[in-house]
Amino acid sequence: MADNTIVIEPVTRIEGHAKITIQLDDAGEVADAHFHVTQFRGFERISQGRMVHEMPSLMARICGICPVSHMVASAKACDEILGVTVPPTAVRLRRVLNLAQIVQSHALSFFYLSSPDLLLGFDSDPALRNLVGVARQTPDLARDGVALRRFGQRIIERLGGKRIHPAWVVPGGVSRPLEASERDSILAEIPDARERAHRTLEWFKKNVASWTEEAAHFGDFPSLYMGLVHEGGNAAYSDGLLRVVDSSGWVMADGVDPRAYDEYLGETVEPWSYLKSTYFKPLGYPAGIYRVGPLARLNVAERLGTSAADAELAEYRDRLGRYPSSSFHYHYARLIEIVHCIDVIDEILSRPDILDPHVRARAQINRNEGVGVSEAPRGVLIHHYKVDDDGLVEWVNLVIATGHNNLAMNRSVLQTARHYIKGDQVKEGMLNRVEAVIRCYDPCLSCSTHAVGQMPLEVDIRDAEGSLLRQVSR
Amino acid sequence: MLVVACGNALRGDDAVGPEVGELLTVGLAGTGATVIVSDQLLPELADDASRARLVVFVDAAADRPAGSVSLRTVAPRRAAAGAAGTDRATGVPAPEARSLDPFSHGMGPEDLLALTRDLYAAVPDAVLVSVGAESFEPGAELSGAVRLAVPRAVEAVQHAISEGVQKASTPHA
Repeated sequence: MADNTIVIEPVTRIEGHAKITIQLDDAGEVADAHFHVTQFRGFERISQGRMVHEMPSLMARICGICPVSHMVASAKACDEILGVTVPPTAVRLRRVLNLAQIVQSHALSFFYLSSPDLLLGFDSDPALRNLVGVARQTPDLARDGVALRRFGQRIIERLGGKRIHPAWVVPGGVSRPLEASERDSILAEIPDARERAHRTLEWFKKNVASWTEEAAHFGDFPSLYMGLVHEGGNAAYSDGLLRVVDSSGWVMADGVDPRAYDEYLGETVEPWSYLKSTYFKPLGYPAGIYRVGPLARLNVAERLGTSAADAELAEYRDRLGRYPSSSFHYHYARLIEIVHCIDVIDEILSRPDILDPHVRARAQINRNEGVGVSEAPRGVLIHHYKVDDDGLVEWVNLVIATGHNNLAMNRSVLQTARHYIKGDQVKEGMLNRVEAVIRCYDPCLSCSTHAVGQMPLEVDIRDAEGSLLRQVSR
Repeated sequence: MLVVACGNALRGDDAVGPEVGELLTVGLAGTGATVIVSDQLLPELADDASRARLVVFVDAAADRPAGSVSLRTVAPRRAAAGAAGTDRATGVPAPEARSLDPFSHGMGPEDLLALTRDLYAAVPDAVLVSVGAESFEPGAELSGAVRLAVPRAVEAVQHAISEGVQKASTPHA
């Protein structure tokens, strides 16, 4: 028996270490496929014995891409342990920071990691299928990507003091108020960022028809979707309640206080990955497969809440239906969210009370348990801590967006492999599509497995008996 | 003038870039030079580089004697000929067209300058000040040899900038 396994290792242009194995049957057809996360970290254990006040800064170290998301969710869990009411201006400043994080992370995902496939072609020369290739072919698009990422990072730097791992968000609020000069600098950059975001969205809409085949086979299946919404149904990014809908629009859970997350979400472990799989408990495992992140947020929300983004959302739904089910559309959703986030940042920073110096509430330990939830760029992020009476951390559970999407990523890889791979005559462009479906989710493996991260990937193709047929490494 | 000082402050001697950068932030105040301290080189820095007449990169070097300070000019990586960057006969990527993965942590000054050229049609003069490192193991302390090299590295950057200023102010013959 020949070895009928294709291995893609490492998976490229993602954040973290992963590989894909594709198993063929005796007829050479794809029988099964798995997305393996091969890194491990362990922040849940590292945190034990630390003082709870340290947690936001410590948790920010989980990731260099989305430290702000961890900091915000962590601070919210700490707020609950202190039993404080965070001053309204601090709540808004945290929102601005989180939205800036989403802008810069979405820009990185779309322009740096995925646009080479979209612009240069999935079958193009891999040596040039990168940001340099994009810069040479369409410098305007690449400049917009660089500028939008920079826009988000500058906001983080101005508010938090530095681009990566700022320590500005603290239990009870933020550590210092916003200066008028900082606000004015950010507001001055908004028109340029807004123009670039709209220009990119127009470019994407003009070209979306050319990716029809990919859209049909990049994880197009019914599932549940989960995200935070405000009362009334607007999308929520830093606060709000959990809502779960299915692909037909049935609301499976709504108004769920994030503190009750474990009544609805179960976690399981497969032997082939360090990334846990999360599922919707009422449907069980694996039927409770759901997705989070940009695609899910647009599906669960009635609207976004800013006029330009809602106009784009209406067009998106006209084109794709009310509940788009292909993971390829994460890209489109991501671009609409950039437009929305820029407009919300503008709204919040234009408020006269945003310079209020009262931005922190202080207290001792008043509760022994706290849950903090926010929307990270990749989806719902949950931090859950238990502490002793002195505030020493005893137990931590982190439920990360990439874990929510693990079942969906695996199903997507299988669907894409079945469509593009026939037998062992595998071309590079086919394997790139198998990787590209993972990039749609923009997984952050350092966050989700708590592992040391770069971002490579590999693909295995195995036969019906599990023997390795072919391995492709990058 | 732009100084880009890069390195991870928690990886032993890799912190020499940030250390030198912090000192230069004070030392170059009022000169019109901008100092950026960054964990690594990133595509966004191309925008800053495009606005500079001279870019001075400061980084730790694994292939130089520990504590040594050296300076060399750097130029943008050459553009690949044609649309393809691979030798179709051998399938080997052309060296000037090597893959640029923003997560590779492997973007060098030549790559950043190439991106600056491709995105902004700007090619600033550039030099790299390298400080030979002894250890990149996790930790917030510089080794003794590298600690002693910090003032010389600061001086090398200041010298490069003053030469750049002189060159810019010298009338063309």
